[in-house]
Amino acid sequence: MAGRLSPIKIRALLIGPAAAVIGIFVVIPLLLMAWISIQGRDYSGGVIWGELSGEAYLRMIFERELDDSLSVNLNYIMIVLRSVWLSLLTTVISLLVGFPTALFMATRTPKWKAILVFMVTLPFWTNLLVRNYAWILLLRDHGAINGTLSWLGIISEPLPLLHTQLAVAIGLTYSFLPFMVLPIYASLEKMDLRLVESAFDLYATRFMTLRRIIIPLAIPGIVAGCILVFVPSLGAYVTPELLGGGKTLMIGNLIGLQFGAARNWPFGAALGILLLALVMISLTFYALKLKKTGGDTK
Amino acid sequence: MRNNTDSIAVSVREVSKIFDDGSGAFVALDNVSLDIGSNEFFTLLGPSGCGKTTLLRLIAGFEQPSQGQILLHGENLEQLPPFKRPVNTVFQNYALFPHMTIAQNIAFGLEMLGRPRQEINSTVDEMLDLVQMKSLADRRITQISGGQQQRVALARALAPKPKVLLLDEPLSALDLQLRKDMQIELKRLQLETGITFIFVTHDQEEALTMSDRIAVMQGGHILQVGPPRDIYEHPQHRFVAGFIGEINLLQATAGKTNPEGLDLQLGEMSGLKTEAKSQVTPGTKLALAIRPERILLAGPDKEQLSGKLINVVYHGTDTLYHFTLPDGQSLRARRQNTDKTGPEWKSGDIISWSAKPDSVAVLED
Repeated sequence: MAGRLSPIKIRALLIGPAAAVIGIFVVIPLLLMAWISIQGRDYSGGVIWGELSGEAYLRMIFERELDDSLSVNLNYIMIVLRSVWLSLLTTVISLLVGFPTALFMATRTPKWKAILVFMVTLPFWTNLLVRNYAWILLLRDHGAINGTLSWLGIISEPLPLLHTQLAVAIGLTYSFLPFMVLPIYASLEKMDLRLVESAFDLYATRFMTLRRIIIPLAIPGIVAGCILVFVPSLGAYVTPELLGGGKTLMIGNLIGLQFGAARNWPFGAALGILLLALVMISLTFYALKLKKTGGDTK
Repeated sequence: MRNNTDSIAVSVREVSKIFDDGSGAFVALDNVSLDIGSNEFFTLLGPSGCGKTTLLRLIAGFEQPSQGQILLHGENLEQLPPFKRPVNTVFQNYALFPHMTIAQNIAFGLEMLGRPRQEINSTVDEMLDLVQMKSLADRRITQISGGQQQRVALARALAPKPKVLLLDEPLSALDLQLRKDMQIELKRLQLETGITFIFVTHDQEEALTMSDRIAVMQGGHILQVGPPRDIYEHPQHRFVAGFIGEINLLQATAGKTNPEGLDLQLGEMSGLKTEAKSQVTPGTKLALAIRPERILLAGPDKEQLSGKLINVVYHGTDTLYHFTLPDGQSLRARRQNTDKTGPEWKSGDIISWSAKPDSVAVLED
């Protein structure tokens, strides 16, 4: 052999492929997006490469009048706030539905556990678009829910279900619930059920056992589940597009609109950066929370 | 004391427990009755699957009896969930709460009972003292050794001052030396606190060392209940005799009953006697049990009882001699090494032996 490679070269070679993947698919596109967000835009909608401009960020809060003066426009901020609100709502509903589900699954026999985990992941076998269309069929004015209710004589007019925030929250919850159930299930499944017996033995009622033993031990799963639901909900595109109609735009739709019909790439890119910042803030919150709970909650 | 109803802590009355998983029923306990006195260190002893842990779980309330009743100081425990029973358990794997400190673990039961904070703090201190863990109060469970976890589990279960403490093989995960120390420790705690201990184990030595009384269980039945000495010296069943300590099981034929006891025939060989309990028809086949250390060896053949020495095993404190009797049965005798050299007996020698009538037990099968 013509001499061996130095350890530093070996390390560089080993880390190279991973670094290349991250660089090409994450770092460069992100930098590109950040760059576009501070570029100028001409009247036909093209990006003026090289001309620095803060216009895209100004647009989030202000509107430029014909005389070039700025006036406050909170429409976009409302969309961002609605996105955060709907994502939080989705996270809370998913937690309330997902935790009992996970607890139920974790306390079954091994055979049933396998079947139930399989059933939770079953919806992923169908395309997200198709699953959201299915909700349209259920929620629309003459859909399954309104149809059944009026056939039973409970309502005379169809309830306005489709194209509401509720519809979006239902759709998002339905789409992301497995991301809540699975991490909570994983942490509950690891838990020694004898701890529950031990708590009962020490005079804890069912409720106190849940509060003092089961939930604290499931915290890592709960936090992971909340992040896995909140983050994709915040950037959701398909669900608000189909179930929200025009009235309940979320940040994902707004971004889509800017890159498409509105032909305002800098603004779309700036909104993308904003979304990224929101996600970063929530992840930092998670990290701080984990640190506070002692750090040994693996 | 045991027959006085006031001093009975736990009374198990005709309790059966049948587990049915759909594919078939399993009788874990079959019509078991038992009275355990207050302040008693009571041991349930038996091999795995004998029903001892099931009985403990019924007393704790984790399982409900299929039939029968369990009374705690005269009160029927039926329908009472575990968190309403004044009974605490030390679990086999300790089941300590991993997200709490040692002090928080010990305080848990008292908090659930709604005791005032001040009382909780002083009881926790008292318990930490009792198990000698004071310096580690704020450590997490994951940061202490198995032996220390064992002490915390004890302190946690004792803190609410239960009427009865249930211990489910709590020493089985410890190494030998620690186990011996904890046996003494447990006995001390029981005497100091005056709480009734019900201890489950499959280790006969553990049972003999600590218990006031032992119940030997097998196949969902209680075979014999009594103080350690009774169980060891007067086993009534073949299983009890074999499970507790080493023993020779011999087939004999009953002879005449006379004032010194009942004559026994070992094949053609006579000379062995047992204390006669009742009249036995001569010629009846009997199962005998004799402890190896109760066989007295007397050197070369002079008397009626003899055996051919086939193996000698030196154990330090004593030596074990294996014999074959003239009728083909085998016999082991244990002899204390009272001097450095010991007798010069070799394999093949014919050695005579004897046993006192009260050392020869007649078993019911």
